Amino acid sequence: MSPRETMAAEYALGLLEGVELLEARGLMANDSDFSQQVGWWEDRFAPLFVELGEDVPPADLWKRIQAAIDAPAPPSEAIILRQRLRIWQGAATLAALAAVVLAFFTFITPHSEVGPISQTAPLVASLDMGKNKPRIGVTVMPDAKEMLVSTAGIVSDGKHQHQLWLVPATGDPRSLGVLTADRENRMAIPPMLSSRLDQGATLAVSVEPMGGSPTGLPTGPVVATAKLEKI
Amino acid sequence: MLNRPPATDSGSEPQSALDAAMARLAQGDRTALRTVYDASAAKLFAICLRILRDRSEAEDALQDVYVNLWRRADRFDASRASAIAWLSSFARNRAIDRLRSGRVLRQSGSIDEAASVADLQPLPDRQAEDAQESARIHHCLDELEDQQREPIRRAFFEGLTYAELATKSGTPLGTMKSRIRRGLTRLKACLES
Repeated sequence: MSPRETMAAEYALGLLEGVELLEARGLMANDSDFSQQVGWWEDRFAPLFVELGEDVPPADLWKRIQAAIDAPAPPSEAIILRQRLRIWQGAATLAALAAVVLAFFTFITPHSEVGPISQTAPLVASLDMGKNKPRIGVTVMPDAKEMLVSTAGIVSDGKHQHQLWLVPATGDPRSLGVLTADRENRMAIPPMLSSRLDQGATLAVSVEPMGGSPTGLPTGPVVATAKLEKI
Repeated sequence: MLNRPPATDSGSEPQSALDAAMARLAQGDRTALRTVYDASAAKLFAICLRILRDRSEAEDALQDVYVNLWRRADRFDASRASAIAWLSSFARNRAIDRLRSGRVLRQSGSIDEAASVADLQPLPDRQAEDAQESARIHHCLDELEDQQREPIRRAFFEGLTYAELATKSGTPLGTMKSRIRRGLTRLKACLES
């Protein structure tokens, strides 16, 4: 098997973690050959499920499903209320304004470094988590010491948090921090990473246990990726 | 632990009814969701339970599966082997996502305890319509060496990653990867033959 065919089998079985998992999820979304191979493996393995037999779920589960469909309420992943989309869109505009104001503020504060670096534009990324779901907006300040991360519209389930990652072209993803739901997170950028938060750098968001990944690498599903762009 | 419901388990009719209901579901037919639920919930619940090993977590996972199924019913690809195969994989993947995103919250003791049930034997009353496909994957797994087959089965049934399989069996990660990759290569050749 080619490395990619092997990865399809590994992904179907759920063997991958970290950067390989990120790569496979990217291929699932963008490479129909790859997703078909994953489907092939899933179908070949599916007969094994018969070994698990059946187990009747509780009678009220159907009602819970109907209720969840009729009135979307937070299930157990970090969830997003569709009806907040509009509020979020308004908030995104505010966040953009806030970013500009903050950038301005950074220019005039005595702590800011004067020089070419502070004259560059902020970098932004919009991490899209799917249709009808809020996006996570990242604005990297021109001095690359701070960033503003908007999680407006995201509802915490009390068990999970989103975590933001820098995904280098090679090597493991590096954590940029754990995000609090539904707010403007103003976060310090780890000094070792500030020079790498450049135009075109790839960011990713994963769902992690409260407090962030226990391993230092993404463990949960990667729900969005985007590249930093100058505005 | 395995409750067998009376009706949904007989021959190929429920399966084709399920395939038909999946097609109606994609058109936004709400009654189709109930049909799909009735025909598949007990199987999918068993899968979620096996991966998550916690009834309450498995119930949440199952709810998540059907709510997602309703919202994104167009994702079912009719070219796949069967609706139940697709649904089963979908449920397994959702349960694994839940397992991984929440695992720090789980009691580590319960994972190890539950690991002792890793080698469930095949049930004798395998369904007739699955028999041929089933025979094939079983035959091909049987062709593998034990040290290839066992981690592949554990990955499938327990949702373990390379790193977790290596740790649990005390095998270096690189060794575990190459064993499984060799196993998967042989498995593919056998399944395609």
